[in-house]
Amino acid sequence: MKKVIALLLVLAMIFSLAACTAPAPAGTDTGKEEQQEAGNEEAAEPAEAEETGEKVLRIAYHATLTSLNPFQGMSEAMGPLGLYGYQTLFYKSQYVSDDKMIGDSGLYPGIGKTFTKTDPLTYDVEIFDYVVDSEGNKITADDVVFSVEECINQGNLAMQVGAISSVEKIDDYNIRFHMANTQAGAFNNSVTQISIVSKAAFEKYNGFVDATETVSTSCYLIKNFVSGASYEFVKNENYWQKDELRTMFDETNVDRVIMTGVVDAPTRAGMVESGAADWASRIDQSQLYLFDDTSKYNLFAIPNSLTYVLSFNMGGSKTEGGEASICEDNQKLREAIFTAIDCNALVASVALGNGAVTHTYGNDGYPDYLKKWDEEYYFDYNPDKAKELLEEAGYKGETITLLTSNNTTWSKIAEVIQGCLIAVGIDCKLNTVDDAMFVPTRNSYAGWDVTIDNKESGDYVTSTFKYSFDQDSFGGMTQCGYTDEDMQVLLRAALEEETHNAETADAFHQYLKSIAISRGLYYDYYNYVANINVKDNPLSDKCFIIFGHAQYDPALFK
Amino acid sequence: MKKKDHLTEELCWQEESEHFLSVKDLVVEYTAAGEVIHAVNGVSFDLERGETLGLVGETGAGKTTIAKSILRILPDPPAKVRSGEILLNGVDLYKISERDMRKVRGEKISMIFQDPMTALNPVMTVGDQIAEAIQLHHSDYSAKEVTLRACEMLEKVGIPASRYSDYPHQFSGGMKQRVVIAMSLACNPLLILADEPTTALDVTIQAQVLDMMKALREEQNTSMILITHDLGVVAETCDRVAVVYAGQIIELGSKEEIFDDPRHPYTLGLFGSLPTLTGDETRLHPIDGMPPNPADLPEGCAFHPRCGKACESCRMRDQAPELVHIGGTHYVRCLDEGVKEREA
Amino acid sequence: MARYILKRLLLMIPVILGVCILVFTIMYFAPGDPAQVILGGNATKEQYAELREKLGLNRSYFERLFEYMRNVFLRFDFGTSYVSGASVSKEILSRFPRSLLIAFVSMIITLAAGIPLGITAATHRNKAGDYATMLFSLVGVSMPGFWVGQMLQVLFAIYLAILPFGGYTAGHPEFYVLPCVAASIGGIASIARQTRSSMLEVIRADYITTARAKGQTEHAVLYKHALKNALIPVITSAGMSFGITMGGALVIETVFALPGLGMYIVSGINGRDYPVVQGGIIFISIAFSIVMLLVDLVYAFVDPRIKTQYQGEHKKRSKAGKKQAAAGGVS
Repeated sequence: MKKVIALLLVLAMIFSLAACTAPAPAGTDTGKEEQQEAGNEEAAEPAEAEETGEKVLRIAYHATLTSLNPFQGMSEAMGPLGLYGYQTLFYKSQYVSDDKMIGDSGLYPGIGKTFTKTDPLTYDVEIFDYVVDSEGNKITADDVVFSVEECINQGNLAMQVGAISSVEKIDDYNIRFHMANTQAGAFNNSVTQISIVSKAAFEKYNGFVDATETVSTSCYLIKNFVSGASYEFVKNENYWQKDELRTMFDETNVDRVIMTGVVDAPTRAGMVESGAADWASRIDQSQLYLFDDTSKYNLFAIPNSLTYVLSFNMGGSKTEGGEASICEDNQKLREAIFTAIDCNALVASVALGNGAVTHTYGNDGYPDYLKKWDEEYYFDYNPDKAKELLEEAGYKGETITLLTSNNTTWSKIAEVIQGCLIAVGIDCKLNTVDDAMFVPTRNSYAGWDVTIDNKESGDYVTSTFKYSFDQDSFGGMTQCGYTDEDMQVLLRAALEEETHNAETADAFHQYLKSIAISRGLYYDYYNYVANINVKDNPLSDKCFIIFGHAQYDPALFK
Repeated sequence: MKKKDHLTEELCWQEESEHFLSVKDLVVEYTAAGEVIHAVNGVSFDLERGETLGLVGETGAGKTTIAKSILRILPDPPAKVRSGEILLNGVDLYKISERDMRKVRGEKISMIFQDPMTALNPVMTVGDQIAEAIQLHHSDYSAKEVTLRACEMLEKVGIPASRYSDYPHQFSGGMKQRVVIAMSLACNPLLILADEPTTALDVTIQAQVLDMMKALREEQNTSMILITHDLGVVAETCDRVAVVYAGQIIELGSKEEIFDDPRHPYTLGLFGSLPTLTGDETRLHPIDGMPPNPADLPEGCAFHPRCGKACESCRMRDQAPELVHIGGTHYVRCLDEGVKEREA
Repeated sequence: MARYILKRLLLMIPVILGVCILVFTIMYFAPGDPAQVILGGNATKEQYAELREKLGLNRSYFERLFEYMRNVFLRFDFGTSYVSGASVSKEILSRFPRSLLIAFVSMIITLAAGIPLGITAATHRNKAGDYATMLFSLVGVSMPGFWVGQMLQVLFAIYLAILPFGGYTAGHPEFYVLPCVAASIGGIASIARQTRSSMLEVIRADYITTARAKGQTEHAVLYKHALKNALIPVITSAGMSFGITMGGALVIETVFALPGLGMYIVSGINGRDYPVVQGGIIFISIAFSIVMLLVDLVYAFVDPRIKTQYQGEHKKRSKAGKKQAAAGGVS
């Protein structure tokens, strides 16, 4: 008897869970609307703001911050911290622009007023001479040099600042940057990711490692920091910059922003639904239907700069005691595998239609992306052709191991690809590893023939190529173990600032395509949902809302 | 105020009732797993003030059930009192409310249980357990008075009052039993039901405990029903004896009548199975056969399967023998004429 | 009694030492490289190597173990997170009270709801009351914590909008309400069952009949006599589940975005942030040991036989010996 009841209850629970996550049919939302209205009016957040007429914005962000260390390792949570927690010398964003850009460099003034490139490896930066932080410390070139060197020393941002070889002070308000290479975008990348803090404040507060407030030059100061949970951005009333010189990065259209870190996607969605948050990042595709009501919510979708790619293990034979993967020397086999994959199916089933197929390591959100790549042949899905290629490759039914991390998206991609390969007669097995184990496994070149990966960069498509194919970075071979001097020459040409243009980018792309060692699959969209009174969604280069610059309907604040 | 004394008044008022305690045709059944167990099958006896009645019989004869029925503490789901009356000073204990019955328990009638090791609550001090009995029936006493009285009771049973705050596990078996006795006597009951109070104790302690009980009873002129299977104890302490077999009293009389002139074959068997100090006995003489299964009692006379004097009529269902007066205060339940009339 | 407590506290030390070494060793041998997690998947080999050197990951096992133990036991310094540089002990101390509060409040709710349910079931054995309460607890234990949490969120935060959906702001107790309730549901079922079976056993005891024979009311018989005896196994159960919840009701913390100890440790594991994991686990083992000690002390408080046992070994020969002699004569 008890067993029957238990079984019925389990079934009931499964059904109710399924019902909750499935899109509701159109007619049933009326009840929800009423409750949502009630939710918006009686929002549960504490109401200190309302007494003073303060403009408060509440954000539910998809990552939690554990420390206010300005030089901590790059993580999702660094987006807001990097934008508003501290100030950098310059700012950039591929999503928005205004008239304060320095020439056509793509950089906007921050603490830095302007810069000059004196030679390919040297940049001279001039800072404003009236920069003051929230404790009254004046910022001079000494502080800039200190911050850059501290950042390099801590080593957590090695990727981001690796292009800087050294800095030196020229005078009180001028600093010279010596770069380590002449790659396109290197200077822009590094100089926008180093926070500048006053040396005095840094030492006084022990590097802000355990601090609950920031002392910075930024137009917003962090207060009430609860590690792993929440913090607040409060408008800096004594911000040093002159009003007429403020860029979109230091406008202050809101007075206070309450940032709550919510890692669980459904909880984030629920917070917007219940009115506890006005803006939430990274809403899951499966929950977009909750925000269909355009009189209450704005949905913003931007193409993710991250591309899902598929790469072959080309390094098995080069490791000590390792063996070559079956795909390493068999180009026809590699082409067969690529041609067997239906990328539209990936978009439909993994991204739930919220994405698009891509033909390279990037999408048209990147400034150097070439439209023609979309129009050309790119391993177009063709099972029959795949089978032909298999024959030509001499494939005898050997096992092909597909490596993937166990995170949700990659696992789903892996399953779809496995299905596609099996459908053309390839015996594909999955090797699923723990997230933290993925990189070591890939870098060991053992136990896998082809892997899923994702690639992005902060600036150019060519940078994404660099992260995978720069043979200088990986001890003489690409990240996946391929060696080819010709390819390296083409890559260098595409990367160098002097020669970075459409031809060199295309040349590399075509070469890469011709050897079929790696391909782009698709990219999806980041979905942001906001209260209807948040009228737009200007994003920083880390895809965080530049909330000081966004436009709001006054109804939001009361 | 009036309501509380009403029962006491009633009991006192009816002092002129025929007998102090009167049990009439008590029938108790246990229902377990569909089976009906006939534990008590028509028991009747009377008891006077100050008198001690011994209930003798083998294990499972129904003696404890009788005692628990008097106090109305039978476990209710299995046990059910089918019929009968139990009159205390003329008041039918089965017709009064549970609330009134609680006033009777512990105050008018109290019970001493068989196993002192488990009869006391292990997480309460002995003093508090005695005090509880006092507190329940004398809610007008202050806490101090209650404690004082509990200490008095401890001293009375030979336990130093300094041990008030000790726990049961800190006492030996005999001392625990004394505590139980102290608990039962704390409110000067009119009737004590003692269920094999000395069975779990060794013989020397037994004697001490019995003497103590006797002394305390004489103080208050308390009546007692003593359940035992030990004829020696009966001889020591009882005035009257009832022999119980298969839920019925098969012989009833004064101590002298039963010991000097046992009539019923079962009674004879009981005495016969006692080893004597004189005489050369090499083996004991138990009664043949086994006690009957109370779920499946024999028809007619319950003892007939083991009785040497059994005849055809003993087996007849509608001819079950009644308790018959055979002289003085002596009653016997048997069909055999010889048993009923035989001279000692 | 004091000796007993002291003895227990001293015994905790080897336990903690053992846990420390064990956790350190496990993390040491666990595959995965903190440098790769911090820098991401696209750094060069040199960059990884440099960071590994900087974090001191290239030293030998014993060197690292020794340094860690010395820091923890002599300086009470659990180190700093590899990822954020924040002090681990500071983090733990700020998060632990939240997990503790949830564990504590949910235990109280569990006991307050579970014990009466169990008593009802025991006293109405095999009747409607028994079936109803046992059904209720079966439902309770079948519902997973995250589901209960989300249902509560939907009901109270969206439909009724009287409680926050999730997150945490210091000084506002309403953020704890739903998490505590969600965490307690599963425990109610097991406490109810435990109480029921324990009560059933106790109710058949002789001293219960004694109490009734004294004229005690049924209510007092249950709550004064039976319950105290029946509670001992229940206390064990409650203590253990308290200790476990205190270590971080991870699921609850995730659903309600409450920054507690559970999420801290799990994020440390995923990030191969060794100091965080080590510090968190050692801390939990200390806290758990203390909880177990407290549970054992509560036993002594409830059951005098156990109290005597604790005091036993030392006193047996001297004091109790005298007592026995005195008592032996009179009995």
